[in-house]
Amino acid sequence: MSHPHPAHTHPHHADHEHGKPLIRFDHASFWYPHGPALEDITLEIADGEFVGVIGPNGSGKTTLLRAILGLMPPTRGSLRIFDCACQNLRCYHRARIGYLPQKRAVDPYFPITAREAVLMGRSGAIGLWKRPGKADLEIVRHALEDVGMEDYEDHPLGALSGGQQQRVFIARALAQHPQILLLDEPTTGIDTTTQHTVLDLIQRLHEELHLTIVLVSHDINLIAPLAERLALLKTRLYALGSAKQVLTKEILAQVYGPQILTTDTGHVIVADHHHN
Amino acid sequence: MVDFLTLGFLQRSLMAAALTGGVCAAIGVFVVLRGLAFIGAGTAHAAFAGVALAYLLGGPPMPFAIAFGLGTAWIIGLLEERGRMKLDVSIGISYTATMALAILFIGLMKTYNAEVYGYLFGSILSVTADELKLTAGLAAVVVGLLTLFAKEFFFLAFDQEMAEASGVPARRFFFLLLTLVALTIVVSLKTVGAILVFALLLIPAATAYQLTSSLRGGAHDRGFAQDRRRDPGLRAAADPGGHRVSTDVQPAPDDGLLGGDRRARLRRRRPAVVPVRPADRSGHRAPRHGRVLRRRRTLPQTSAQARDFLKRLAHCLQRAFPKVGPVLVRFQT
Repeated sequence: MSHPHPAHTHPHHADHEHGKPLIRFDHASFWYPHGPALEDITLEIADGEFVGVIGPNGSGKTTLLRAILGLMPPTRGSLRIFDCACQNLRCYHRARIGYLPQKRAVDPYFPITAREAVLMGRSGAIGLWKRPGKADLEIVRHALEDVGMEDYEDHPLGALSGGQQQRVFIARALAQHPQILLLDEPTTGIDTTTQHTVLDLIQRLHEELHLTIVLVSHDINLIAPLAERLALLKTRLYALGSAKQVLTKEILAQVYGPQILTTDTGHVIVADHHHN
Repeated sequence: MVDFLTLGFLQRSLMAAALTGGVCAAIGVFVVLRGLAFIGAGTAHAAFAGVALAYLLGGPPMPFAIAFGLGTAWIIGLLEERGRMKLDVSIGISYTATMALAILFIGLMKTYNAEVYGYLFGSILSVTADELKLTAGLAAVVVGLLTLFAKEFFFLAFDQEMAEASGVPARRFFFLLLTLVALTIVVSLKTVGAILVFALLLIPAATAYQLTSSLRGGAHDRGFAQDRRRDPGLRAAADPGGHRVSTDVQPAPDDGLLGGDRRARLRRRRPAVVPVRPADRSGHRAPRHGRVLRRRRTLPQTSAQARDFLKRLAHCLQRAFPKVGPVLVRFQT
């Protein structure tokens, strides 16, 4: 896997300003027809920040990302992205947000190659009715190289393994040249070596291009060393802060139950009650 | 011998058939990829109900057909968007409800009206010059819009939510697609009828879907992957060891007339490490890195190829129809 493309090629790098809040949840609640998904969320994510979102299944992690994408307006409170109410997000706002959705089944017979799938990430930047130019194809090639999939660019997407498809979709999010990168369980279905390569890449993107990253993961130990702040969700925002502040025995017990333990090295483990 | 082609009604019929077939095939690609296959049947029967109402009230059939067709397509789209009802269920309900309405309207007519049934089964020989102009105009609009927004329509077909999240106004394009489908069906009603238009929408696209593995391969240029050329130096630098991942499709054992089903073909395209073939003296280069080489399927050119083709055909028939197959094999030998 090569280094990410040079910083100067990224449009948001030059005008980077630290600390300016890009995402602002203000007592925001999000409801599905069957009940609340998130309640009373107050959270600010600054430009260039790396926030990890953790929580048990059904705690609203994916809903948080969908809300940031403007796909789910708040039922109460407010959410502002790029200082614009999320209900009013325009296409050019969305084109600045890269999104890797949770891994889901891809129609194995959909006639699309890996390169074409990554090129779709450029759609917002290219604009309506315009055709991709040489620069766009070059960006796509760089993105595929960044995730180590350049050898598979002409492969049908359906012929790739689940992990390879996931890497192609990461490349699609990168090809968008986003200012905010939203990653929903990016390491699901990827082998251990590639997991670390992908996480290294994400960290490099954050450090070198100062991308604002919101990474959702159920694997606390994988995300804790990377994220500057952790947000612990269970419908409500239970805790927000550094890994040391959030991953305490008391807080984790409240959210996950008493079987969750923390080790001296800061790792979170589940007590093995099967062998007691 | 071709004198009959000078007949005006036949010329109009042929042109109408070509235009209808072309425009249905073009929009059918997006209909099939987006998983809207049955919307053709639902909208066609809704438009037929509109025609029946028009004849009952003594009004012009086209505006009624457009209103019913568009209304049904939009309602189906809204229901799918809200996630309250699965697409196949909402189409099934609208299909049966509008067909019931059509039968009710026909039943309320005091006299038998053969023209109404013309819209159900089509009457291609009675296409008028005005109808031909309307079909040509719509074909130009539909094909023009599909070409112009091919990139957006394909993203929409692949993953509508991701398209919306990536800055493509996917919702608007979804309803634009529904509108174009409804208009195509309504205008094709007179020519091919409510039943055949469904086949014209699906069969060409479904055939292409079986034979392609790339957006570029399925229809004419769709805006993606325009430039497939890559710097050969980059490839060599990427793998100095002289080995590379190749996707060249190896000849596969014959397991059918078309050399196996799509699933098997996809499996065969899994990469295999093969040595790089260097360019020879005549400048002939090895196949391009990572490029999928398709097996060419052409008509038999020689008698040996024809015999081989017939043998495979007999083999396929034998598998499909165990009782008839052996007879064919005996006939062939």
